[in-house]
Amino acid sequence: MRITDNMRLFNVGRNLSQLSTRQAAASDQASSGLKVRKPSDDPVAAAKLARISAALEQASAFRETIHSTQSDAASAEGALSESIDLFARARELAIQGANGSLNAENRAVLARETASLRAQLLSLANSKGASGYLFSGNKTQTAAFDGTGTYQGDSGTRDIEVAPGVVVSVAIAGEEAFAGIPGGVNVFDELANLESALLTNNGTLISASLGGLDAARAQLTESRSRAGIVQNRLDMADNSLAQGELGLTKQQSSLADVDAFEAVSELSQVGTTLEQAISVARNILNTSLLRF
Amino acid sequence: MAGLTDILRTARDALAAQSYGLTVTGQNVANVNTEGYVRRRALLQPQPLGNQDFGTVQIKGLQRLSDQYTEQRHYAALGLSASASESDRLLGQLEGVFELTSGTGIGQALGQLFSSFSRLTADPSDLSVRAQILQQADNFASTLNSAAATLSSFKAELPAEAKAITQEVSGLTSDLAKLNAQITNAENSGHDAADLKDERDRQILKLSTLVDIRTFTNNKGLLVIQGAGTTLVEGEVARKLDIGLASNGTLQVLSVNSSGATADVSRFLTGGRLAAIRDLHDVHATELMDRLDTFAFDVASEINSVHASGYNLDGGSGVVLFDVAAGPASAARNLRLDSTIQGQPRMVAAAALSPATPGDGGNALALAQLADSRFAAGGTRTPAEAYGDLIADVGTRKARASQDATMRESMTAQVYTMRESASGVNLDEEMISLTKFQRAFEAASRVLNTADELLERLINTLGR
Repeated sequence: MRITDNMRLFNVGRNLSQLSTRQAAASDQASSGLKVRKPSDDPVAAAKLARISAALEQASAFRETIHSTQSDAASAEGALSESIDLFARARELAIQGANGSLNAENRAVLARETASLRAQLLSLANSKGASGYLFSGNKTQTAAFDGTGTYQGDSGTRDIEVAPGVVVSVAIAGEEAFAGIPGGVNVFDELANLESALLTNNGTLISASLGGLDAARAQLTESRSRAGIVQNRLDMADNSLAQGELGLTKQQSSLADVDAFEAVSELSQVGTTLEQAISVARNILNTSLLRF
Repeated sequence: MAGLTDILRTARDALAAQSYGLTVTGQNVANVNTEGYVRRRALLQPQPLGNQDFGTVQIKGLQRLSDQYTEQRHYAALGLSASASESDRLLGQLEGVFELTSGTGIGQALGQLFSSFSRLTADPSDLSVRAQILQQADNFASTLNSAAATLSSFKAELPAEAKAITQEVSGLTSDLAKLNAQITNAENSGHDAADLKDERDRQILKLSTLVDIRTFTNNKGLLVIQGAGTTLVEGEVARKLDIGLASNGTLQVLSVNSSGATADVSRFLTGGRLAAIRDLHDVHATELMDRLDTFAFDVASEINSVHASGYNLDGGSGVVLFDVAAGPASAARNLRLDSTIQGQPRMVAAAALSPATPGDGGNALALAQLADSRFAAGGTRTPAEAYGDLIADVGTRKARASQDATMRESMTAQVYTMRESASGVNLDEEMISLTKFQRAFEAASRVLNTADELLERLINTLGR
């Protein structure tokens, strides 16, 4: 093949320009730290990255929802615990009141304390959290119980999503915990029973109220343990989301980020090749009959 | 029997021939860097003197060392390469809309919208989260709007670019027709048309980057240039190209003859920048726009139907969240937050049950769960997957165009090398022929000298 001067120049120019392109790409990667910036850099990785960033956004929304729900769940559990303590005190009062040596006046004092316990219980059942009344079901703007201890809320259990497709009911409905619907006891009525038994000064009735008080306490304890389970589930979900976020971030980084060593070694390799190409070019272009 | 004067004549012709050779060599050296210059060779042939069996040398003329087959391949390779790199450039512009770090952020906006639905489940009556939902929905709509607007203005500029190219083609074809006429004239009057032919080759090369061309000489000896399947130049007659838009919105390439009649030649166009622009307009931009519209329509109408099935904070039935037409056509361009719900966070239908209660977030949950529901792309992909597919599609198109451009470029380089090998100037060769002609010139001078000495001897010694 005939080689002309322009062919030499053309080939040298072409090789140098290809190397310069490679060098620009390598220095771009090394300085930005990213190997996928445009979809065409790696179409498959780009699609994955789009899905990963959607999943990360979703996970952070789930976690935020969990965090804002956790405080209400903790408040609900606290209110239930305090209610249980109230019933421990009510039981003491009942046992004390059932003592045959007490007269009507002594029992009236106990009845007043019982009434105040009932008022405390009512305010606990009407506790408010960040999103409104804790025990009103979905009627978060309505107090759960009126003065007579009648449930005003509904049976709604607030559902939140804690992982794709995993839904947790976070609200403890007051109708179960306090009103005993269905099949339980109304905890306010049990305290009212004790109070009226104390007021009527009837030892037998006072003793009889003990059973109801224990049932109420058991019912509240069961609700509290359910609230505890909800909190556990939220904690666990939060942890696994945090783990998942970590995994997603790692995956994102392995898809999009440049391996620093690789990038720097490619950069220096291209640099060396470029220098070699230039010195080869100098030699090739120097050979000519004109130099004889 | 040759006379002494015959030797003088031979020496004279030899001097003329060798200096002609030197001139041609000089011309080659002078044009070593001239674009499109085809090296020449001096053609010399022996010339008998009268009917005698000896003779002299005659200058027959120039030979342009160009190989028609290589030239054809060069045109084809240049056309394909120009088309591929134009596609690459234009798709690079298109890709900018979907860039991961600096693009319009459609995926991100959609993710944030779903997130705000999810946040509402924690406290469905929270007005600030409800307002956030409206804001995110508006943001999602406007990112789609701006992506669609960029795509469509990109597409709208293409016919003008195509038009500019057809004007360039038309200019070149009329230049080429004139050159053909000049070459015919020069050759008819016995002149060397090598320079005009070089010029013609340069123009044809230029033309080959604009449309796919093919050249041949017809039976009347006229050079015919065909481009986009139609005859652009035949001898001294040129045709023009023009651009039109078909009723279905596709780009039409029209050939215009001298009487102004047009014919649609779009389907024959296969190379050159014009083909790249046509493909971008009719295929890539149109398909990506359709995909974006379908994506916008799928997401907006699914969110609408779930949202409308819920109940708002005041107990009323849900309305649609987005204002979207009944079909995907122009959905991305025209997507808006519905005017009824705009600025009305209480109208966000978070509740699933009627009568609505402030803590009922059932519908907000259903909306948030759409993020993982496969309703897009004919019920096969989640919205994030559908958007990822769109990104991959854009990326694949651009990556393929880049690969194609690189491959075509190296093919062109190969053909260029072949062409150079046949027609380019090698200075070493020219140095050698310079020496060759110089030595021959010196030898011819010596012949002249010898003849002169012989004549001197005759005249001064014998004739005295």
